[in-house]
Amino acid sequence: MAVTARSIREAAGRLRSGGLTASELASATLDAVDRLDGRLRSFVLVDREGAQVSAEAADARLEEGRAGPLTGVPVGVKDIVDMAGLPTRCGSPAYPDRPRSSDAPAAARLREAGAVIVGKTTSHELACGVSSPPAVNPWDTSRIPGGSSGGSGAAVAAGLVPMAIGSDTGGSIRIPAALCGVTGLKPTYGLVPTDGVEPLSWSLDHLGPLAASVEDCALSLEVLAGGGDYTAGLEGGVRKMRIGVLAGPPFSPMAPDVEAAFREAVQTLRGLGAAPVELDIPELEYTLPAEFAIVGPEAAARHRLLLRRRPELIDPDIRQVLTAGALMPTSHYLKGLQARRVIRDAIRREMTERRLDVLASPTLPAAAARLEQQEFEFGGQAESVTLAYVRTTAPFNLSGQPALSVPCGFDRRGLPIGLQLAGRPFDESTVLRAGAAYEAASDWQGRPPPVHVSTLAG
Amino acid sequence: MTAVSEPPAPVSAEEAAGMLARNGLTGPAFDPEEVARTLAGWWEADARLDMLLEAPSPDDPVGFDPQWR
Repeated sequence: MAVTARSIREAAGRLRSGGLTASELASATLDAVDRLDGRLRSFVLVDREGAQVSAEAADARLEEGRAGPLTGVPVGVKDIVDMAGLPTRCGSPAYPDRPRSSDAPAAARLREAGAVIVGKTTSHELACGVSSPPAVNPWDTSRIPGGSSGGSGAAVAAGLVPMAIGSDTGGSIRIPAALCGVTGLKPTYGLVPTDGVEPLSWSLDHLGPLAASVEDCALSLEVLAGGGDYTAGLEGGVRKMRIGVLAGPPFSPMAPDVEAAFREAVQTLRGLGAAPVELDIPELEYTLPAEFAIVGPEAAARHRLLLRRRPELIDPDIRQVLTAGALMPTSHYLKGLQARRVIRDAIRREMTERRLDVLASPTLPAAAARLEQQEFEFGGQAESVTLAYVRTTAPFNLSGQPALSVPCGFDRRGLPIGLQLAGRPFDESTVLRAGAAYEAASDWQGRPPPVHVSTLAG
Repeated sequence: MTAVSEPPAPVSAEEAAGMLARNGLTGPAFDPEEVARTLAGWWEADARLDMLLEAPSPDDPVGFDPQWR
């Protein structure tokens, strides 16, 4: 079996005990990427030299006793995040190979913590989509890993790295986390700086970790947010925690297997002492029109020169979004912003009046779509794959609340299903505590997919 | 504030071509018929937002919180 890091905690323990050096771990990780990623295409760039240099520096820190939890741990960074000396291509042929001059703060914080950045992970073009080609899902390589942070989800699920950064404008951390069977955290809007990150929609963009466990998400957040203690209360449990169980649109319809897994997850939380409260927030039905009324114009504004000068370099579906965003009147954008506030206040009203600590829903209404699949069918009604995936995650981009996806089962084809837990703004600790309690009470987390480093010999 | 409901505004291919040209979006990458179809969908979404925003809302951006007054 290849020597790679199953989790940040496990890797940190082995590195500190002296049983493994950061250089050995980096070499093993690079070797595993070489051998496995031809099938997954989760990395678009492997920074072999940078990883080895970082690993040597990490070994020095470990020897000096100056190591933090991420020191010497291999990680991935989505290819929309700037790293000094490397290009940022955003999954687009329009972006040059020119190396960027500086690190985005999030990447800089990883480096300062001693993490070993192995390379840049595959992003859906312009971070605007849910499939992230050419990356595929380690659970079934004929299916999508989700997006737009699909490379990060696939790399973590396959055990190549225990954590990779993703971004989330309408679900792009939580969608690949759910579809790849890993844990993903979209923190509160603004908690992790998005400077130096290619924007899709600046008022909805978030940055956060996809990781092997809830604890790994918490450890990563402490670094990415530049401080905060998100690991201390992880074992506090959910006793007497009031959980709003979201039902009705946009959380319905959903696939029967997803609904069964979600109901089972709620029962598990109830068994741990939580108090689930059924909840339907009617305003959330307007999630998709509000989300796209904002994403369209903001993305069009960002990419206006590309759209005018080299439109043929933009994927036709994305070009349609940008074109509509450019042509719709300003009133449409303003309505989107107004609707966003109505939706945010509706969630706040329900959480306050019902004294809810967190909200729970299925992360997505269906498991991973086939690579060529365009639509799902729910109860005889067709729905686009993109809209189906975004409708359950985007409410918390509009509200800016922290939202976590943790594995909560498998469908009848053996594809992962995610449980979404959202909390009050800047209350990541409660969300992570609920996720950790669920994770500890279930055995979904950590199961290896068919394409995994554990299948590599020697 | 109550939003004024506007009927969906379907755009003809000819109108879409004009809008594209006025915005500097020209060339074979932009098919006016396809853009017109896309915009029709966006206008439907706009009308849906009106349904949400027509309801009297406590989020009046020019009003004052009663507790403040």
